[in-house]
Amino acid sequence: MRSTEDEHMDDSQEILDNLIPELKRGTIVLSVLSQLSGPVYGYSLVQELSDKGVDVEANTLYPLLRRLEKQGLLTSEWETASNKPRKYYIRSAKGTQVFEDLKKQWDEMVMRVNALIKEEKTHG
Amino acid sequence: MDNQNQIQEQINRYVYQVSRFLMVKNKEDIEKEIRTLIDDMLDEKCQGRPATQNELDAVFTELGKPMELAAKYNDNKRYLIGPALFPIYWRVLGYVSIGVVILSFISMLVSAVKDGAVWNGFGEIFNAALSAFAVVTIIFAVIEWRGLSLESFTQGDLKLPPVPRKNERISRAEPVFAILSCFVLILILVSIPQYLGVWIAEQKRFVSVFDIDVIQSVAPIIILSIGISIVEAIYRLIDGRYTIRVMISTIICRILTFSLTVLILKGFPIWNLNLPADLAASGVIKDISSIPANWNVIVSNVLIGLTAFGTAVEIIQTVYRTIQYANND
Repeated sequence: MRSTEDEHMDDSQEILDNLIPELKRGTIVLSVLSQLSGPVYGYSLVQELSDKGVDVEANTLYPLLRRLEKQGLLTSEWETASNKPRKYYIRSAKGTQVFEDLKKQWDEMVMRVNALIKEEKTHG
Repeated sequence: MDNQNQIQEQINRYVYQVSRFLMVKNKEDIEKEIRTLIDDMLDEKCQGRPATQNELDAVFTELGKPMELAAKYNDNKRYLIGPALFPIYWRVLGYVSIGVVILSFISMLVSAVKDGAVWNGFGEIFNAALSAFAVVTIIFAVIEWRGLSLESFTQGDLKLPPVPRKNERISRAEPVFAILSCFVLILILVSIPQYLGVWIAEQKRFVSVFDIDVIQSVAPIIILSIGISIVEAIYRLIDGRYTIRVMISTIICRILTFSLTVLILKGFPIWNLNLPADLAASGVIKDISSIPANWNVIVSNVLIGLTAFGTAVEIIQTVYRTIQYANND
């Protein structure tokens, strides 16, 4: 028979599994914008991010690129010269501005949250 | 079909299924993009070899079901009835379904006792419940569709109304009772108008006050008119107090309902003109001349008068309470 403590452990693992993607979700736009100072096509961006330890699934990234384009943060162009036509995305001027602002927010947020976490440590 | 053609065919099918569920403008562009994506993903897995079925399956699993992938592209979350409205929709649906089932059951028993025949039994209950469900759902879908603009128009963005004092509240019982009454009316006027009349014991039959053919042909107008009253009740239920929105919906709904009532009573020969003769023949009344020849016109006029009175009282009362409450604000 399993002890109640074991059950609590299982439960907290499940909660954690739900919390991590939620935590990641907000950072995806920032990660994506950071990689688009030059033209990149969707799947190479998936691989690039994955190589750098940031996993974003293709079925999330492709719709996101389209949404960012619609908001005017990216522009795109089909490259048809090669035998495989690909859609290349690049940050627009507006996108760069938003990226810079978002980066500042991120730095501040990391600083503040880190301060909170450390404070918790010293108390605990 | 060789292996590569088969793989190509499955990719076509996948892309086609995704595009079926897309609700955006440039579908072709997305289709093209997904095709290249699948190609790229296969290339990565195969490293130059021709793709196998297993690899294709792995790619499809990664991308998810076509419907789910399409949902990610459809950025506007569209709801028939959204999460904000859903709790109230659910509650109304609950009240109404319970009410309709009970009422249908009662009318089934009544007609079983009267006629000795079970009035189409459970099929009727099912039909009544289904129509109730449809009417409530359509009304809420329209509120969902129009709702936001109406709300910002009447209440401003973040201004919450104060918690209502007791006499400013519209008790939940009032609109719930109104909605149930509406369904009783629909049930009687649309489903069983033949029973609204006089029971002639000797002939073991009802003589309806209505001309059944005519009343059935105006059923859509009756349902529309009663449906409008349900809309009014739902706004009262949602706001739970006298607000500008309740006032506007009351005025519009009451005037529409009144106009439709006049249209039905004046525009269609809904009354059974043979009623006096039938009653006299069966001996229910002694003397046919005691009923005025134009009884149908008189009944219509009385009903219109009563409706006009009710409409006026309700509108005046609602406007009065709304203004009174607004001044207390």
